[in-house]
Amino acid sequence: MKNVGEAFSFYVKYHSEMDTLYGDEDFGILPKMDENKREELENRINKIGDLASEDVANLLMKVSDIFLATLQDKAGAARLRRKSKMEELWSTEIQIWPKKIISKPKDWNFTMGASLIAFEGSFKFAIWAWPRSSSITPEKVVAKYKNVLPNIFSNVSILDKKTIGLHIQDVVVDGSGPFFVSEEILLEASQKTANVFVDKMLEDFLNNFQE
Amino acid sequence: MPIHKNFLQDLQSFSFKEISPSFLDDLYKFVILKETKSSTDSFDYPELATLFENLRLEINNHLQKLYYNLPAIHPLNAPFTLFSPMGYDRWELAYTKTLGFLFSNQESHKIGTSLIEAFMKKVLKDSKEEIEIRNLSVEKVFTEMILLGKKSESLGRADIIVELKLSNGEKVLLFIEAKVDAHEGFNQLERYEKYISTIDHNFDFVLKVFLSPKVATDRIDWISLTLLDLLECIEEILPNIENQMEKTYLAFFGASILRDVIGITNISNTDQYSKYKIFKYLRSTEN
Repeated sequence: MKNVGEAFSFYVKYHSEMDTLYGDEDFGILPKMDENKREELENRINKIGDLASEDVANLLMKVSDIFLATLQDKAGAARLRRKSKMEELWSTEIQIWPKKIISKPKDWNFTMGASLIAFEGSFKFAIWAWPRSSSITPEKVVAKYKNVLPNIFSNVSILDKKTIGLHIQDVVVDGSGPFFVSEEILLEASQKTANVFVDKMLEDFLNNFQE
Repeated sequence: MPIHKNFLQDLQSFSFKEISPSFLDDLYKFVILKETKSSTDSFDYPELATLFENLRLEINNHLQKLYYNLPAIHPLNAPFTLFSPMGYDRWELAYTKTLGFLFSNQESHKIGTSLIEAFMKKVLKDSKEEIEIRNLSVEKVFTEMILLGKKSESLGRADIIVELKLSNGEKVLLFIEAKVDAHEGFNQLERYEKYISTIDHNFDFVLKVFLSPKVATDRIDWISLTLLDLLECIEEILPNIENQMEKTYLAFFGASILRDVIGITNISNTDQYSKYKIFKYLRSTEN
């Protein structure tokens, strides 16, 4: 079983420090220290950040492959972000449109995606759908589907305005390490979510779209 | 923990006379392999973890002192923000309208040109243009102005346009595109570029500023400023504003930028990440 790497786990455990210092040009919170030591430290922090982001992007590439494969034959779908963007945003996004339309409509706003959201010592693996052009409200969707979703979701909620989130239970990274997060578990959860999404929600979303 | 360089010698001298040379060879290879691996593929995570934990303690102590010394009327001391009670805490228009109001010296406030002068200092910080900004006068301020092309086609809206006159008579057109949401980029700037290139004007300088929560450096022809830069302008002028009501209004506006947009909250009830942000902000204004 492959694990999401050590660098990622360290990033999550020391999220406040890594998020503040990684990629920070002036390393403004570091105390005064010897120039060589500071440079070595900055290099090390940036290297860990790069490795962690690469870990996340590799995982998200696999997640988006799962989404695309599951959507195949049911709807038109295309990946919106390159791997380098996934490394930057820790998020992947797929655009979806009705199969009867041959190419991706210009103003059609319906996407689904997955994001790794780090907190102090834990992270959320959130899979979400964002039917921006749909007339169906997130409240209705949540009310309608809450009971049919499998147990892997700890929460079904409205993430932000029209975004519907299916939160997979928070993953806690704790202890003295090394600590690893199973990639297999996250990919399995992604597949289950994609199945539920395609089987239960997709048609409703597509039928309620306003062009 | 790294393997000590004398480990093999020590091991040999310690005992194990019967130990086979091949075992020692294998052990040696193992040590070399382990050392090579640790120098290229891995990091000393526990060492870095210790450093981060010490950093946390040190900064939290320093932050308490910085916070204690803040003046009473300061964005961080505001009990709430200007826009959140109205539900406009992320509404871009609220920020551009207020900023336009504060940049103008023809409105009812009495802060004069102090904010636009502080802002222009930031705009021109890395500029090659030699522009003397002392004693400038604000000719006109437009917010949310509809831009029309040569054939009267719509080119969108400009967030803030300021026409300035310098003390030597030179004229400056300041074009500000403001963003409240960090994810929005330079996409629509092309249309504004088109507008600027098609209008007939008699300005000596045209300055284009992209004001957003984070530094956006994709376009070298636009000057990128952050909302923290704007906040520093407010910080800079606050001590010199005599009228307490105007001072308080500015502090509440600063609180909206600080909390509602940048996400820096009160330190007494915040997470470690925000504490670092507050520390960085306070230290930058301290200098």
